[in-house]
Amino acid sequence: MSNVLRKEAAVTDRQAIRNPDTADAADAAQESAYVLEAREVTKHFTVRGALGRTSVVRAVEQATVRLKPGQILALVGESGSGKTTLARMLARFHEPTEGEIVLRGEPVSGSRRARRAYHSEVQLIFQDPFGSLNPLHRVRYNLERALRLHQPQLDRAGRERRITELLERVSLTPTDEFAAKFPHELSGGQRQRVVIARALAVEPKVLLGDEPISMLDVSIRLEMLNLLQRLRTEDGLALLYITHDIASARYLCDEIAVMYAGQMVESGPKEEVIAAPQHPYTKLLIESSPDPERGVDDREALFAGADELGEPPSLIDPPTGCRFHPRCPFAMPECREQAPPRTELGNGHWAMCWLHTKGRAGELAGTTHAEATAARRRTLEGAS
Amino acid sequence: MSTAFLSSWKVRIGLGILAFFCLLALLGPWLAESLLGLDPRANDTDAIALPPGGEHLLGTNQFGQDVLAQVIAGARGSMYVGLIGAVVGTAMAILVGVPAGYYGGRVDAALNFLTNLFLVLPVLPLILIVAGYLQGTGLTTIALIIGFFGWSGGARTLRAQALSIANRDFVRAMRMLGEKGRRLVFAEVLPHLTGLIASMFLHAMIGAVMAEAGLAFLGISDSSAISWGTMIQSAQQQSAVLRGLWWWFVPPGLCIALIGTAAALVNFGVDEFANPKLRVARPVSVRRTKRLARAAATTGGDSR
Repeated sequence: MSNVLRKEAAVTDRQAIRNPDTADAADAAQESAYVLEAREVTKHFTVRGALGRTSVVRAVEQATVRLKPGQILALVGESGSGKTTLARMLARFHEPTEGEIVLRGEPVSGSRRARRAYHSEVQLIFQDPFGSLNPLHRVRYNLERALRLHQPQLDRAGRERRITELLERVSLTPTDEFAAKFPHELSGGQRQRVVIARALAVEPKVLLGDEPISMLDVSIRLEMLNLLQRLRTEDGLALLYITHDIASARYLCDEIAVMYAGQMVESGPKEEVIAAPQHPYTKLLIESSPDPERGVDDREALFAGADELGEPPSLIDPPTGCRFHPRCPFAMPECREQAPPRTELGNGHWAMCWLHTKGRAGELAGTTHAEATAARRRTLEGAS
Repeated sequence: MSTAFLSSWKVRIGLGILAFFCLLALLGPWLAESLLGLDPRANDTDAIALPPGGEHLLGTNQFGQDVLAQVIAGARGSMYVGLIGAVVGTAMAILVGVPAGYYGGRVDAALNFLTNLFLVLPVLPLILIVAGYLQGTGLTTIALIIGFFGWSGGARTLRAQALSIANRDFVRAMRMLGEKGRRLVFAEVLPHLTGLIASMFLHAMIGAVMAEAGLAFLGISDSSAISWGTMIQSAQQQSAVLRGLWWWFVPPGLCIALIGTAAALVNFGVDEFANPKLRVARPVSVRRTKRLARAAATTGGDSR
């Protein structure tokens, strides 16, 4: 396992060397318009209690996501932070309560025809490859339906040719053999390839990956990430990669957006965000991701206060002001009262934190989350 | 899959009995007429209310009709009603239950209201009224009425199942692919319900056979048609019980009971197939029985 991760790290280094030309490509893409945007979307779910009392779950609030062709954006955050809700809004399973989804600069409408047109450009890859293929249909059926619906001009031979191409694209060879298989005859990784092939049959411009590798074996995750990478470089797909795994986000993406309790807290180019997080939550997230390079002693030192790192807040009754303030070791009185403004840090990097407006941003780099929490506890005890 | 299903003795016996009655219904009347020379409607005035044996294997009834010939002819009538009733009932259950579960919302509210309405309707009195209103009730009419009033329970079960399947990721994925609703219902959701529907169908068939017998017993049927129900009814009318003509009503009653048993056996088998916990001879229970047997053997040895 650690072997694979180390390999990942090695590939990341190579990635970094190759970076100049991807950066050029990114610059060129800067000129072209965004292919898919979620503009300040908000989603509230109404839940009805046993006694008929209703409460509102604020799953996503004022989130903005922009995808460019040939670019991979990673959306990271812990469970329950609204990542999946955002993806499902982008896949149009839920209508946003507020805000709009914009495809090629045009707001999408809710009509059935518009929805179908939308889905011929945007496809979602589900988290669970064991659930997203009907166990009663062969691989061929799945691909054939997608082709029939989205490329009606193809005749029988054309469809057959396309199926072979698609299966080759996701490295499921010999294609004839795989096309005739039922999902239960395939491994998790192979199923996820079939799911991706089915999405590609539509010839979309945007792929939304809702934790596409989290249910897969560690040993095949890298292959999957490489496949996604290839789709981006060769086909110029825009990809939204949702994950809670910083390491894979770092390996795959160009930009990272961090979500906490339904809100975007930080976003920017991946190396900047990971190397110098500008929001206390991003810092916590990066520090709590396991790293095999780290020694046992380091780990113990780093997580000395791990039991006090806190939990995500209730989205029914979120904290006032900055939603992270109950867990934040740098919290100030402002944090409790008012939501922090967005601070632009240059190069497309921004964060929403009072530390930047109050000139305390430097404190973030000098300490770790656990250390800061411990220090804060000491001062509080000293004061009382 | 099908061979695993057949490995249970319950299923094999149940299916055997059902197959026997189906064959009897299909070929029986023809065989009885050509081989045994029996006519269920022929009145033999020389042989009235004869006990089984001799020329008439199952005896004759009050009108001098051969009971064996009548049971065979009745098999056709009863199975016909059972089949038509079950087809109509199951089809309606599918058409109401699956869309209700799949579409949800307003469609569900309307279809569920309909289901609940039929669920709480006092079906038997209603059938009596409808059958009385429709003059000249042949077996087909009876079967249609039984099917029309007996789908609600099945629709409820199917709705619940469809509801859970409709929210599975593979249905979402195909919807995102642009599949139309009707195709999603019939190609993605319905195939997952085949086991349930098959067992519902068997159940409905037995129900219809019994309902027909019950209705005939109450006098709601075509008295000229021959079914097990009409046989029992005419036996009752001629007070066969009081006069000890048991061979008149026991054979049709036994046939109905046998079909019920067969369906129950098949359903047990289906349950065992679907729920491995019910399978016979779990290792734990085998070990426990062996231990008990050993204990019994040693104590038995001591006392001897």
